[in-house]
Amino acid sequence: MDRLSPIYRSILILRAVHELHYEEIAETLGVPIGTVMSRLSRARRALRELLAPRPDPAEESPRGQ
Amino acid sequence: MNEDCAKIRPLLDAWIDGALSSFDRRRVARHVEICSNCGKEVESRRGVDAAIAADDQADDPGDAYSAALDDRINTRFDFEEAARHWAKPEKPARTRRVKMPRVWIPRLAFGVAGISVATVAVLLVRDLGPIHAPLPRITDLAEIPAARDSGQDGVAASRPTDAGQEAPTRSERPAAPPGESTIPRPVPGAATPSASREASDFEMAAKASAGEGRKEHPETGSAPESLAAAADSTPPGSTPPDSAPPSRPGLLAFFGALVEPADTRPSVTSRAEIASVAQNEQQSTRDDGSQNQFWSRRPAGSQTKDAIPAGPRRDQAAVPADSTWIRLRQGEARAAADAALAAGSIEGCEAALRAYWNMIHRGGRLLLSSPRDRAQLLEPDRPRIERLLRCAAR
Repeated sequence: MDRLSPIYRSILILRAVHELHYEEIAETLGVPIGTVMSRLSRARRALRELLAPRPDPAEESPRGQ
Repeated sequence: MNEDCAKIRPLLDAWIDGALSSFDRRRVARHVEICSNCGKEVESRRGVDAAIAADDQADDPGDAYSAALDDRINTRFDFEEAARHWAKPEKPARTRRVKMPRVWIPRLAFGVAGISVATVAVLLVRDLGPIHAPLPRITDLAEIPAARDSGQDGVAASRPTDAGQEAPTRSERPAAPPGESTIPRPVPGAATPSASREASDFEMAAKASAGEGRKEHPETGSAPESLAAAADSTPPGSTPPDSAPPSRPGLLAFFGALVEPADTRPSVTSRAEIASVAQNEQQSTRDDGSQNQFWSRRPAGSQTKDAIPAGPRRDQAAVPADSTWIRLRQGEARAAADAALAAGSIEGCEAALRAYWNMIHRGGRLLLSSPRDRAQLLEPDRPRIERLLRCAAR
């Protein structure tokens, strides 16, 4: 979570941890609800990419033999 | 990934968060059930939320939240403007009063004025009652035509009677003798009975109450002194009477006449007795050529009791239109009578008699012009009135 940008981190926490609705998040952050939806989508994608296991380049070469 | 997936993917986050409309929610749910790719995407995104929730450190929204909140405060509130506003010197009190909203002041004044006008109107209507011409203070029969001609008999002048018809009013109107179609003029030198037909209700009531119990015609037989005693104690031909009850002698005479012993007045409890009294009255009136306005409701010439209107109405006191007034004043009079009799106070008894007077008078007009109706109305209070008379006469 620390590797995420603060904006993504905050919106993810407000939704996943505090379970606020989109309207509440919009009111809290002072942004339109459409911004909340798009930002939340991008935040989840970013976190998913961070959490996805990356293939170890060192392990690939012995397997490739 | 087909075309539907391209349309559904942007809605997946909102669908997971429950932020879609019911239509879109059903649409996405149907697609996720049939599309494995979108189903895996949903599971992946839900896993991200679960991972965030499971992170012990993921409790504070972080600097982004604080930064956003600061931005909101700064953009929505101008500190400099606020400082300039509160730094302004206070306006003087006079100026502040001028700035009071002026909309409600006229309304308030209008409302207060309207309430006071309505209050005054209600008090006037309640106290004055129906507006009638002032009744003349006539205590002498000889003055009736003079008062009428001089215009003091405002009530009779305002109520032109058709001698050939019975006036449908609640006060008993005199029926014209047969053959006469015009208002008869007073015959000089003769008794005033013919002119008394147009007399006011007060005169009729006064004469009837004074002459009740006498077989002869009230106009021809009533003594001036008894009539004067029954009427107000003001000099004849003076200004019209006001609504104030008479003095103690007047009250004693008025109520004394009403509560005369039964043997001195005709019984009015049975139709046969009414018929006999009526027959005697008509006989006496026919003898002297005058008209009997006491039994004015019955057509002239009827002698049998069959002419008496059938039904319980003739056996009961006529219910005047002022029944509410009478009922209210009756309660007051009874209360005053009970208190006065308990205290044994002469002044209290006199006041109680005045209360009974007020019960049958309204606006200077005597209600229930028929003495029989008055007697029946006061019958329940007769013991009280008799005791009041004895108390006040001490």
